[in-house]
Amino acid sequence: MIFSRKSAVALAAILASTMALGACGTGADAGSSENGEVVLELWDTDTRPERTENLKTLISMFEAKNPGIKVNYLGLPTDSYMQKISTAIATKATPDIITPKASDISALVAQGALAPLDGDFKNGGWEDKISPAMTKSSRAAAPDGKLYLTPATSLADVIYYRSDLFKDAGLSAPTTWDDFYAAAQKLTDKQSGKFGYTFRGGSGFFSQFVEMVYPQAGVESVFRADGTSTLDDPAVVEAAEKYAALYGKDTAASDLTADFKTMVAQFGAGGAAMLSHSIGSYPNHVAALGADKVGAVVPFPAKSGKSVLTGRMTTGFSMFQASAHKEAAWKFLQYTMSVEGNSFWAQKSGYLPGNKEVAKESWVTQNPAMQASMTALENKDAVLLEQPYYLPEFNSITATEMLPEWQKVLQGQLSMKDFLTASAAKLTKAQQKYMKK
Amino acid sequence: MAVITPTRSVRAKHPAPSRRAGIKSLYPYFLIGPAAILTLVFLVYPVGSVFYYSLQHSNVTQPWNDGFAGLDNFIAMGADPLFWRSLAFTGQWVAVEVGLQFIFGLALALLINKTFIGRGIARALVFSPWAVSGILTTTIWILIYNPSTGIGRYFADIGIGEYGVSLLSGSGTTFWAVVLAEMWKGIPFFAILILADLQSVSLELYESADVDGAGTIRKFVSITWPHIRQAIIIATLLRAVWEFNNVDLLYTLTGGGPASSTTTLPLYVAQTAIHDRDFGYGSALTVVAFLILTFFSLVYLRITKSKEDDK
Amino acid sequence: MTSLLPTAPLTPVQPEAASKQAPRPLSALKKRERRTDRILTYAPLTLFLIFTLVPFYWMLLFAFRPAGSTSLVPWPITFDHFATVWNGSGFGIYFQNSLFVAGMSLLTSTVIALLGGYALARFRFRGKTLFLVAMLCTQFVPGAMMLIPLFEIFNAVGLTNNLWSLIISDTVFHLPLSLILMAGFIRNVPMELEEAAWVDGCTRIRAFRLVVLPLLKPGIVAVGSFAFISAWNNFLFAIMFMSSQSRFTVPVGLSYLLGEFGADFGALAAGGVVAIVPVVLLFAYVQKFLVQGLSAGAVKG
Repeated sequence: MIFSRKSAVALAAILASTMALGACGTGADAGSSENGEVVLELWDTDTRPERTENLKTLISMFEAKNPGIKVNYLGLPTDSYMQKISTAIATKATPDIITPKASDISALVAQGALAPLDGDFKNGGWEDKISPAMTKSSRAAAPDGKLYLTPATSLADVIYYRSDLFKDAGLSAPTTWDDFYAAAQKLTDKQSGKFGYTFRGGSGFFSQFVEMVYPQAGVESVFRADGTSTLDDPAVVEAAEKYAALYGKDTAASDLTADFKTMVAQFGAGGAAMLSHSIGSYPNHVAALGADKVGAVVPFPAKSGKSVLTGRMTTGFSMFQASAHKEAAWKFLQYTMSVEGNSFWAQKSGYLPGNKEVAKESWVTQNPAMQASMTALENKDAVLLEQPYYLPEFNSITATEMLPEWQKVLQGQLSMKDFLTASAAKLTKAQQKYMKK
Repeated sequence: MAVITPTRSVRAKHPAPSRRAGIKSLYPYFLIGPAAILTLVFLVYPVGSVFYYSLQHSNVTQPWNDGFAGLDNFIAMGADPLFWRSLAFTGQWVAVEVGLQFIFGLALALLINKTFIGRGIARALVFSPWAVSGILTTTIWILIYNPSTGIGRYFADIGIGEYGVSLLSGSGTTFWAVVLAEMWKGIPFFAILILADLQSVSLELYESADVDGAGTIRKFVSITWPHIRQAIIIATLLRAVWEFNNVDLLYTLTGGGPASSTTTLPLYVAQTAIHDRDFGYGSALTVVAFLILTFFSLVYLRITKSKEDDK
Repeated sequence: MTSLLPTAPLTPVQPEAASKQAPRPLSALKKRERRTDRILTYAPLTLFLIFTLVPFYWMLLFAFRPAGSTSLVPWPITFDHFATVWNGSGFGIYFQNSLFVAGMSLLTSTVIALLGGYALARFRFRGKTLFLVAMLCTQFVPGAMMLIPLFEIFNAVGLTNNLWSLIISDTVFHLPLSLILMAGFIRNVPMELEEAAWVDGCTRIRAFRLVVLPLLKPGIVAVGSFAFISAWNNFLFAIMFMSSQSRFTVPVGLSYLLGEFGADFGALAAGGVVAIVPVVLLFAYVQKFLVQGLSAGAVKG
């Protein structure tokens, strides 16, 4: 025989035991009630170890307040969750609750997957309890303007900077765009591999582009009233050219293909002194560098004085239309917006809270990234820039189509003006098609 | 060369006569039964559905457009420059990868086959990249090529190369950087296969060749190669198909860039069907890939058909 | 090709064989030949080893090094990343599931490959080419394009959220490679050996078991290892076909550690180390079967 008796028996034993374990759960854990209990399935699209812990705690807090409802948590990897959800929708195997991003709503609504929450939202008196800006932003994510995503929390764009490196170089925190460019240049030392800024040339570039260019240009919306895109607005083009000039000069040449992971690695390893991203990554930077080394500012007002705030994307929870337990699911959704739930969730996640009461709590200004974001809102001239997530083509235009062209611009093979003009045309077409409906 | 051949018994063409003629002729069908049934049940329908969708407009985010498209998707493909570019690049990618993996895999197998101290450990080590999952492989190589976390900065410390430059984003170096990463994983595949195959080559043949004064190369060409040839031919084909279809490394290391310069056809499919959710067009691209692969496989098998094939 | 006697593995210079014969006086020329031969073996081998090991070392570096450190050696050593991975992500369960799926896939793949491979190697039958071509064609469509129909099929047979759907899909997608490889290995075993056993009165099955199977060790090890590893590393089907946290496998667990907002390379590297260890151990154990000396004596003149 091939295997000795002993190893064959051992192998069989191992397999038998694991087989027993594997066969144990042959039945699907349906949301059916046992003991009259309602079981909700929750799918999480943003799984990171700390956040998962927090979400599970939030769930157990909810369960404690609502005996008779149980919530099963399922984490989906950040890079492939949309594929899983689409498959589930196509095969009618959707869960009850999900944690989508505003940019996902359009696709989900197009498939008729989500349940509109407007009625319940109004009846629960939430219109008054939740920040109107966040509610408006949440509605703006859907093609039909309905509310599908609870405005529980929101992100905001900030510029992280190495407070220790700034201090060493005798620089104070930047407050204007000139400060920013000067700091980027001063902190660049090519010979020793240190750069002032880490540039996002790769996947996901568009959000960084919007964050850094639109406030600089002082342009407050992505589309004009007639549906034409503002990407080729002269102010935008000028700001974009100045911004792109950073590449290769004050940033590493390898930033051409940099995506989030690469940028974070660079920032965390001391290779770059500044990084543009959202407040959601603050915990990561603290974990890598320590809270004393990480500072944050909001992208600065334009020369005209106008303050454009970007990245204020709502993150919350949604309910599936096909859910058999909509009432119980809505209870959970309400809990995430209530003072108790919202306070816990926003604080632990490092996101801006949607509940007006919670926004007044003291912890909100402890985190420098959040403090900067909240303070910026106090500026009366501040305008929140909404990205057109409601456009079905938004994803494919800004990610798949624009990215290679963007990289050509960085490589000097395409002029910024041509790039922006062509991209503006695409977006205009999509927007005007949408407006016709 | 002296060769030992056992005498053939005239009778022993078939096993002891305990089988009826009917069952005997069905024997092979029973044997391939499980494989055939599994394939039929689990693959024919899915593959068929891809063909079906290639003839449809199907975009999940714009379902109002859905419906029969006829050959629209294919016509659009012909005019799509990215399609042709990705096709060309795919050919380049597969040829280079498989070629290099095969050559180095063969070399490694021959080396490892010799007796030397620490052979067991060496074997376990050089084979292990094959065991690493896709996501890990890409992560490791991202770390290695990243200017902050990677090897580059240590080289720059001692004066080789510059800081802040990554092989992955330089023009001209991107391709080879990804090739290297993929090779790391692919060489063990060939090495393991060839090594296993080498085991059935009779030592006596080599000894006889030695007696006859044959050099290393001569021994390889007349003894080793004809023996492992069959397995290599098939393994190479399967590996080529795999390299064609597998986009994990490319997707994560370069995303098909910079500027779409490292986009293979299947990567384009992934971007279209999965990211942009244009399932109709993505399916059409897949069908074209399918036809291309079928064509080349048949050509390849025809060319490499040896004179002595089935017994 | 000529008939081949199963013997010990190939070595250009065989100290053992030499010692069995009358000891020959080695001239100085032969000594130099030996040395160049050894250099020709060790030098490229060392290069291969470096090429293979540097990436592994890089992973170990990140797994054991404190976050943010840039030293080339993981000192001071920290186990924090492992704690994050094991506690935060529930790796224990993933491990079990992976072991089960990969183990069963190994069994099913090998058995089916043995059966089908024998048919392909020993028989001529109608539909053989068609069968081969069909097998090959199934490799031409990436799994990601077939998720929904596959999901529907598993739904229809009641295997939703069941690890067996993974075992089946892993086996099915790996079949062409397993079959063709196994057929090749079986073909390498001379028909004459089986025929000799038939002459002695064995049935085909018995002859196969007693004569062919022992000689197939390297082949079975190769095919089995490929099947195990392919199932162990499969990510797409694991994430798409399972809908309970407790059914996920190791690759899914690893993917949690990377994402838009999280790039904890230390934890990912630690997870990687955990994921790789069983497979490397498996390899370390089975690699000796790959080159095991095949016992002569199965054939009498």
